[in-house]
Amino acid sequence: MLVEVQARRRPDERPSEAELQSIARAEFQNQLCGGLPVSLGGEPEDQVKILLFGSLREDIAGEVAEEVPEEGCSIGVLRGMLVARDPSHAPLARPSVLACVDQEIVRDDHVVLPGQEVAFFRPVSGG
Amino acid sequence: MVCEARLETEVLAADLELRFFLEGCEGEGAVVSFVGLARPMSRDGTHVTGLYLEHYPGMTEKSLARIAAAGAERFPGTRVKVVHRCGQVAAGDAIVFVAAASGHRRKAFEAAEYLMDRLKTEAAFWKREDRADGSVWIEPTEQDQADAKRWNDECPE
Repeated sequence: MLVEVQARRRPDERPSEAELQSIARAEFQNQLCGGLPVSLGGEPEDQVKILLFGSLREDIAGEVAEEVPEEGCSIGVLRGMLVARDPSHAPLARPSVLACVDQEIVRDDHVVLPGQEVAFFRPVSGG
Repeated sequence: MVCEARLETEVLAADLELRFFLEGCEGEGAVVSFVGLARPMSRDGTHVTGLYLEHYPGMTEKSLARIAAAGAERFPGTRVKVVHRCGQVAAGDAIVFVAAASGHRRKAFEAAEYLMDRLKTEAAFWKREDRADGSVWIEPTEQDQADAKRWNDECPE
């Protein structure tokens, strides 16, 4: 299953009226939920792919749309954003679930940028 | 080529892999090969009809190449080959083929074992056993972890 994370629009693009309303709504919701970013949507070409493998792919159903800021965010923050969006993503917050950016396993303080490939999975069962 | 690694999406013909490996020998006195087969029984004795090996395209190939390269580096003068299946594998079919060629047998045995121990813990695969009563994802075992760790504790020859 492929989960899409939506990235913020490019810096040179002006937000549309609908986006500005969405931003205002998101900022309001951020105040309610302790500052966790809320999706603002984005163009398909700005999306960052999130891949899930193994049992995690079966445990987490449905698609996710989440914003990664232009300046990026840490994997730890991304986990929190995904879990805040949908309780069914709770396994993503577990330390035993590994994170990968552009096919290298990374720690939670690693910063992921829009356009990068992110993958989450439980430890490999090996060959 | 000192080390070779390949992800196989179709049937893994271990006999042919060994033949090609032997044909590539250039004066080595020892060749050790290992073939891992899909078991018809799970750890708890349940009948297993097949195994599904999920992989991460790109990353899995890199993990195989890294392990093969580490084997060749750890045992200088040894030529190694790793072939690993992905996808649906029937019980009894080959999952993994490993071969090591060296001047003398000790190094070849050790290199083959080293490659397998690392493959069992580091190769980027997620295994699902298909049983009559459903499917179960397999977690890495403590024994596999311990087998791989001992190479960290021992000094290379």
